[in-house]
Amino acid sequence: MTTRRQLLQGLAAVGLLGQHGLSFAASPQLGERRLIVVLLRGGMDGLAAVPPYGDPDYLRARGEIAFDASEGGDSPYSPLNDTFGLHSALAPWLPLYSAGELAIVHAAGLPLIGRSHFDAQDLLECGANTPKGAHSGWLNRALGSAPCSATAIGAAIPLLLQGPQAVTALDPIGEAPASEELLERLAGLYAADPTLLHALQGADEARGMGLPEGEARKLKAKGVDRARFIATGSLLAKAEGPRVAVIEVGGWDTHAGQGVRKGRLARQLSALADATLGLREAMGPVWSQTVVVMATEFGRMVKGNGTGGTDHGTAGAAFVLGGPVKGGRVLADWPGLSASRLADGRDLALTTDLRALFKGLLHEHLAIDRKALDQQIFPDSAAIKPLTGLLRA
Amino acid sequence: MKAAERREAEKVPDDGSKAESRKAARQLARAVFESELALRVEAAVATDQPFVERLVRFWSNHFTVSKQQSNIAHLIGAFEREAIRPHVAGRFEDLLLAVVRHPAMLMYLDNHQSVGPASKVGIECEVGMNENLAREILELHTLGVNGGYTQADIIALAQMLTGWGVLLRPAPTAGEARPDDTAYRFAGARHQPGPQRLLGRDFDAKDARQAEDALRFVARQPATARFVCGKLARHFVADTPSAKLVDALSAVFVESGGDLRRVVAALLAHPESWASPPSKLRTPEEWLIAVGRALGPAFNNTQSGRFEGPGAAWVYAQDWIGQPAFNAPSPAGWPDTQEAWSSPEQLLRRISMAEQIGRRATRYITDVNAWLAGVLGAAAPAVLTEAVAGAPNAAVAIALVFSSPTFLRR
Repeated sequence: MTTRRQLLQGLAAVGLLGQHGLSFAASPQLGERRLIVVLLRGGMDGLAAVPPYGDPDYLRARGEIAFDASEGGDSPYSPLNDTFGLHSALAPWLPLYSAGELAIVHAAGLPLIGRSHFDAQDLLECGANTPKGAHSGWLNRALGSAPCSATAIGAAIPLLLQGPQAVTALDPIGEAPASEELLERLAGLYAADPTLLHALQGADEARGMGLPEGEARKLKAKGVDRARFIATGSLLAKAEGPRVAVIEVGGWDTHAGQGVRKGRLARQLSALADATLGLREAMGPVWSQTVVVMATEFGRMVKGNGTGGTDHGTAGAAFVLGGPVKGGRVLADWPGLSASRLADGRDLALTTDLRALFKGLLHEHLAIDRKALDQQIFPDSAAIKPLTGLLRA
Repeated sequence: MKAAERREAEKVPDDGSKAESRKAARQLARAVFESELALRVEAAVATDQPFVERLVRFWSNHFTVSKQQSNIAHLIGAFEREAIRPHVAGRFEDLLLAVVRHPAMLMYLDNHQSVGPASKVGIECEVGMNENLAREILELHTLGVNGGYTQADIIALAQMLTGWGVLLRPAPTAGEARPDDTAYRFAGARHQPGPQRLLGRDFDAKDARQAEDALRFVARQPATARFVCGKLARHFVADTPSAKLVDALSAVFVESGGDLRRVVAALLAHPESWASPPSKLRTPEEWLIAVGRALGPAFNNTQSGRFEGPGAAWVYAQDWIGQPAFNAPSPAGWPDTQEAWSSPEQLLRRISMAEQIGRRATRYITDVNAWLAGVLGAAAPAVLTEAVAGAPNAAVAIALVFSSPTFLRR
């Protein structure tokens, strides 16, 4: 009897597969480059992740949730320069920062009124000037200018990756158990249905390229985010794997119990730092061609709320990691935290539009031209200049 | 003083109560959402008029309101019951008006905050207009993106819609929820006065009547007929329906003044609707409902029992297979072509769920062949009946049926 894999490989060989298969050729302009976008959903507190400890107004403005190194004990942050520090939970990133593989963009965000998660996430993903201003995602539209295979990590495709370009969704840590026995029988049933057969083949490929089930289980026991990052890294490291991936990480909406050195936010950041190192290791030599950008829908209020947390704010921090990154820098047109400089008298003011960051990366890493960036990918955005010089020439 | 001590010392005693009441409100909204969903699922699984349920879902998706905007989660079930369901066999313009007047839509697309610049409120306060609802009505609900309207038309409609808002009362005390706590209301003080020109026609009625006239006018445009009928044909017949079919439906739409009963009758009478084999891939939600109908009353017992409250298991199931209930990612609704629903991970999750359901369903299905004959009848192709006959046990056989092309397509 022909096994499922043999059957699928045979079909792949005659060119029946491909629509949802992962292995369609990337356009030559991309070379071996990879791009990973990490959506930090919920509104990560950039003022806690990257505290501006050198700002003369910082301690007073932030109040009880400020990081005060003079309080004794282990410092809640490590200084990166005279102004900014890195949350102690992100300490695993310090070697990356020193090696120039991590750049931070601060006081970055999106021009939004209202501070709703929904509107802000919509804006972050659709790339238009207003929420719901486009019904597809900027990353999908970017694929129109830089064709390559792209995948969402998980079952659903986030708005960021939805649109006219064919994309897929994979979960390389295999959360959907389906028995070989059933899958093998289904390959026969799908023989006359190319679409379903493509999907089954894609699933088969993902299983083959992802982690073996036992390994995935072991990894997941140590944290699902880390497991997902590692599995994504090994998926993208394969020559025939996808070149663009989107990972979503939730849990940043720290209205209560945010904590300072320890607490909910510290746990989130620590898991993110671990996950990133796992991803870096899993990517192996391809890391030198990989850019990872991490952004959130908004920052949080400068002052804490009454429940040991922070409410929705405006600007925050974004992270850019990877081999090609010209890192070891915090890029910020720092607005300051004096009362008169706060947005609406309460938030870190926005001085860098996140679209400038995304445009810069798409331009320098994926060789997408200005016209496409200003018109299709980020509609009516010519006024927002790409943030260039983020990557090594 | 250490930060923790300072926090303790400065704690305002009443801080907790605000968070408590926010939490209570969230829990209430979630309970309402889940019980609405349970009712909706029960209706779809048990109905003897499944086509009506399919129409309801089609129009709900056409006029998407989404739980992604969390402040309307508790209104979405009501939206479908009150604005969509009564009109699926009525006139399109009545459907459109019911939808645009519903608080769920007014809040989802921000019209409740929209204020005419020359209105009383607009002059007194520094607040402005929001074009969102007007734009989506023209782009997504009626004329379609290439329907021949301009930015000036969007602004005109947005101005006419100023004042269409929601009456929000203070939260009721426990056990005292009133049915009209969130209700449509027209606020004349926010309405932009004066005539407006839309699609070359002047609208000079006063107050809410002005937008009502405009919406009825837009609903009857030939471009609207084409756009809406194209979507109906794509949903019920094929991802790329023939121009002939869309033309035929549009003609009925125009000639009948948007009588949806007649449009749907024409759709059902058209030979392309009965083309074989069926080419539409069921969305995850459609597939789950089909599984429920095939299992009958046994269905509830095949769902994991670890969820409390009606609807919770369904919420989980839909999340897991990639189409969370009432949670479309944008006002454009869920996509309606197979590319969007045939990613490897999604297929794998359906197969995985079919396998789990198959294992639990063997307690209720004693004779798989008889069950299959009852569910698919003559529609079961030989390759499927053979696969079922060759299955090592009933659980695999049932999973094969639910994962088969015959069942995944409609």
